[in-house]
Amino acid sequence: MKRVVVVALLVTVAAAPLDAQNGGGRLPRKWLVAGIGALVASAFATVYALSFEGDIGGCSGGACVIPASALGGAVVGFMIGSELDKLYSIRYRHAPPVTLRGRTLPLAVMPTDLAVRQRNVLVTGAEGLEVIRTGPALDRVGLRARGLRGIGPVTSDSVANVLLVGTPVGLYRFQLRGDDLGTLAFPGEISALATEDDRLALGLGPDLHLARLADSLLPVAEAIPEDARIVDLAWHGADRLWVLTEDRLAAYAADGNGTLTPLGAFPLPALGRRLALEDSVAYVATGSGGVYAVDVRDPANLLERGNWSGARFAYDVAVMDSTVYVAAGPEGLYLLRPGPDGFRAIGLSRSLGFVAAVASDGEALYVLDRSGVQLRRIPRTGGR
Amino acid sequence: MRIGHHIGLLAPVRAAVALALVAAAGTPGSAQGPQADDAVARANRLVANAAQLVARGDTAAALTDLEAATKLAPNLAEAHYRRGMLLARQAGTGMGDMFKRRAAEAALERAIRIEGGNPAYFLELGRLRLKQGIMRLDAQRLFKRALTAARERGDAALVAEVEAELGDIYFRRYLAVGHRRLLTGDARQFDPDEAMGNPHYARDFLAQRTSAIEDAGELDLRQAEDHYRSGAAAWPAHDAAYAGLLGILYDEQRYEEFFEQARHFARAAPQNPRAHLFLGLALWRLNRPADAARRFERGLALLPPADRDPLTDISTILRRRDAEEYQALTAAQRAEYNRIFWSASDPLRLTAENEHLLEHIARVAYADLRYSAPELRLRGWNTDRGVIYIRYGPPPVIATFPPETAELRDDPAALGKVTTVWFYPERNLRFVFYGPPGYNFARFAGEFQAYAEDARYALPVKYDNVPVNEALDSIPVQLAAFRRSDDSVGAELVFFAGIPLTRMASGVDLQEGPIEHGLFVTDPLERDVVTQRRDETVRFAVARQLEQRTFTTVLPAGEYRFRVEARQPTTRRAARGAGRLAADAFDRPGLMLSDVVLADRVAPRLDAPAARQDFFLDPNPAMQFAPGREVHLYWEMYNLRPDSNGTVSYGAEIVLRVQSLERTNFAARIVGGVLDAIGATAKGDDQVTVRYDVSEVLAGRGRLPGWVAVDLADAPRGTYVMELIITDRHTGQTAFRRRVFTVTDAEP
Repeated sequence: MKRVVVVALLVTVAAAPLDAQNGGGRLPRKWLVAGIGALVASAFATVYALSFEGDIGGCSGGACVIPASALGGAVVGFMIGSELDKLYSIRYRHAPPVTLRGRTLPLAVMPTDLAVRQRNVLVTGAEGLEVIRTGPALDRVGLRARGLRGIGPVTSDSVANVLLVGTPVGLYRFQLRGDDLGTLAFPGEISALATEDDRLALGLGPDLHLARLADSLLPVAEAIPEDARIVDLAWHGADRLWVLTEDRLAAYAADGNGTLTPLGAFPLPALGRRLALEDSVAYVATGSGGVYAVDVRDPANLLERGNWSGARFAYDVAVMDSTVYVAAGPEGLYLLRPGPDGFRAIGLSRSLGFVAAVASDGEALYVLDRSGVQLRRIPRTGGR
Repeated sequence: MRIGHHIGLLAPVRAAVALALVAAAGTPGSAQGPQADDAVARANRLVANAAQLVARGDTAAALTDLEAATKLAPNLAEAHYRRGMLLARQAGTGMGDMFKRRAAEAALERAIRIEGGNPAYFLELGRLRLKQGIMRLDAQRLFKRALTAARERGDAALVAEVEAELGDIYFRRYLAVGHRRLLTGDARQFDPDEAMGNPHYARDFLAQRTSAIEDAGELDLRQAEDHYRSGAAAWPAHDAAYAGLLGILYDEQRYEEFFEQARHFARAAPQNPRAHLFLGLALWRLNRPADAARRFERGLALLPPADRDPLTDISTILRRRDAEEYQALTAAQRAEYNRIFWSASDPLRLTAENEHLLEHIARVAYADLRYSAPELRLRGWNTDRGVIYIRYGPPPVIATFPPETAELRDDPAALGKVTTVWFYPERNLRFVFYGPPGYNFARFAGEFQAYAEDARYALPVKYDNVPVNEALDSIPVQLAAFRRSDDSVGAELVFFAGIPLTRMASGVDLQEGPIEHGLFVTDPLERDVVTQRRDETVRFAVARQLEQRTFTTVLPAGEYRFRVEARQPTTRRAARGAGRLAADAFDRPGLMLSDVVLADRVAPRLDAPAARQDFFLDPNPAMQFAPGREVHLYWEMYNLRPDSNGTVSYGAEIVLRVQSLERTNFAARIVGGVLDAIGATAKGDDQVTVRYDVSEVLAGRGRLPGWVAVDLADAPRGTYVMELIITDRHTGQTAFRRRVFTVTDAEP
């Protein structure tokens, strides 16, 4: 019986991942595994019945052993299948399973975060910063900033050939192409970065700095203090800067002189982590608070357009083709469709490992699998 | 009503019961109608009185009152409930408490029969079931009924309480199958005895004869997590719900989530010390040591002394004999012992925090989080797994094996128990535990208690997992004591340190970066005596760094400990050299010598040098010389007696002795230094002595420097002892110094 159980278990475990990708119309596993259990058990019983010729009374003959074994196998299979069904229902309670196909690239660093800037995917990790070219081939550019520990936000500018790496010690500047060694460009604990043309916005804990990218980094104004740690920054055109702190999403107007003028803010009910902008909506990942959609058409009057907190923890968020992708760590990657009434979860891909970060360049989605130490590129079309 | 928030798991049972009884005081029983009769009123007064008795610790009298209350008003559900709860809390899981458990069960069931909609009654009966062997299987049903009833009543605190209990049930189920290994090939079972006796067994068995089962127990784990989350959402200050949730998040290394949940918890329960300790644990794992230190400090400050002492007690990480002595100390002596211990253990004084202390508190907090079993009245740090965790940190390899049948086991203690293996590959430490399925409890298997004691003797604690230790290099330090330049009492100590800047800068893609380095001298009680810190910028791109740094300080005679440290903040690489020193007063009237400095080069700047400042001195901090290299010696002589012409005369004898290499011939010839010495040559098999005499006009110098360069020619690789013996020819006094150096190809 023990062997029967083990075989049945192995068969079902093997079948489970296949099922997980198929979505609707799923055959409940309790029936499937019950059937398998019955078949396996009756097969063993048949072999027993054929090889055992004696009659010791009781249920020792094939006419009794086979159906009894089948029943036992079915019961055990049913129990195992029920457990699988429960697990399935827990895993996919917020969204049906989807399969996202794309290219996978093993990483050279133990990854912690990723950013997509212009034509580069920047993957930060314990060993440095791995630069990978966007595009279907996922060509490696190289490993930069080796030896730096605690790398935080990163950004690059292909035109200026600049790679900026934030650390707890300061902002380091590298050439994007070439092997020149980096230099300290700005001291302090860098918590967020964003570039627009030759302007660089920096978050140093709660302080917002603006600098001009030249041969050296030139601060253009006094730091603006926020109430909480700045965790992400994003330019919206040349004249608007979005500042995500742990407590709020704030909009600033930027003029040509580098003066930042506050326009408005949206207080976050949960801890802000990452920001993704689409034309009129900002999507904010807030950890256990889920994802917030904020209408940013009028920066002086920011409005919540929806919140989705199905994931246990929203690590990161990206938007592509009107679909919002939520990195949910060990749960996988959620796909949401924003609408006038909020979000609708349209799928969950669990085959991407521990999804710690996600970003898009408009052509593809880049997914960081922390446990699998790999990067996935999911192209815009034909992926799903 | 029992409120979810409580200070700690060790809060006395009577306090919890008293709280409940006080809350119940004056609450009419379900049997009471609007016209409560006199008996019910008296029974209620007895219930209230019982609460006060429990608060005073007189549970026997409280039980008497409650029993009297149930007789006065047989339909007073609260009286039955309070009595049942008191009995249940008193009862353990052993056979000796069987009748007490039975009585508690009867009382609680009676309360439920009277007032079936009260969630607290189901909750308490469920908790009692957890102590009733096979009956514990019924606990889940009772908790679910309690949950339904609590939700119907809108009692958020009780919802959280029940959710935490349900979470515990699922989590304990998960524990029985989590980290499960499937035996492959002909393997039948993991043998703890073999694991203890055969140093290769655990490693080989786990690697070659088992395979990990992915996602084993995930269903139970996810259900546990959901219940804990629901509990925390219902009552955001609920201790047990957060502890359960945080334990899961930590084990799955979901540290970002752990941090956020711990932050919620600490905000909702600012007076709960465990909340701050858990938040400190999160911050520490997220590499924010300063924030972690503040949270730990706050958590410890909030703990009542009785709960704080086990956290600050370091006997777990001391050898048994030391631990026994430690336990015998008074509270004040222990505090001082702790201060000295942690000061000595601090891996890097250049950082503001003591990383080993933080790691210790983090481990204790984790042990509390994960190995506490309230139903068994166990605190995590007191359990076998908790103790091993505190000593050796998170086990890199965990494996569990299912309970086996009797015929496969020689050890009856293993019967029906889950076998859990913790393996630390780097040091080949392995610990095996047996635990009953369904309990968060496991004890050392077989003789592993003795094995753990042996391991404790050899290695009381290790902090390999602390980030600062992962990139901690060593700094060779050659320490030399000289008489003070003004000839006053005390020693001028010079620390020639070889900071491994080349290694620290290797493979770093930066042009330059800051380096912090410093000298720290303490007395034997680890009180600061000297602290020197310096910052400089180092160019990383240089292939060969100038690594030597010199620190100078003046100390009165005595025993000291010193450290020379360096740290590169951007790369978090660090290096450390440490040792003991005995400072001489240099106040004796006769001939005295400074330490001998072993150097790669010593050359005078002046014709008549008076002290080491008059020399080009290129010390060799590691006292390691490449074969064929000259060994330069520098020393100072004090109180040589001049003759009437102001001339001193002394004899120098340099003895070189092989300390560790095979006997072989070698020779030494002095090739540089004072002119009288040059050319002196000696040969020997395992020892050579070079002698020369010097006469020199003192010319007002208070001290006389001596220096020579020794060519060891073909001296083989090995360790050598150098002794310098100086004899004052006018007084006949002698003084000597010795040094040990090595001839090696290795880089220092």
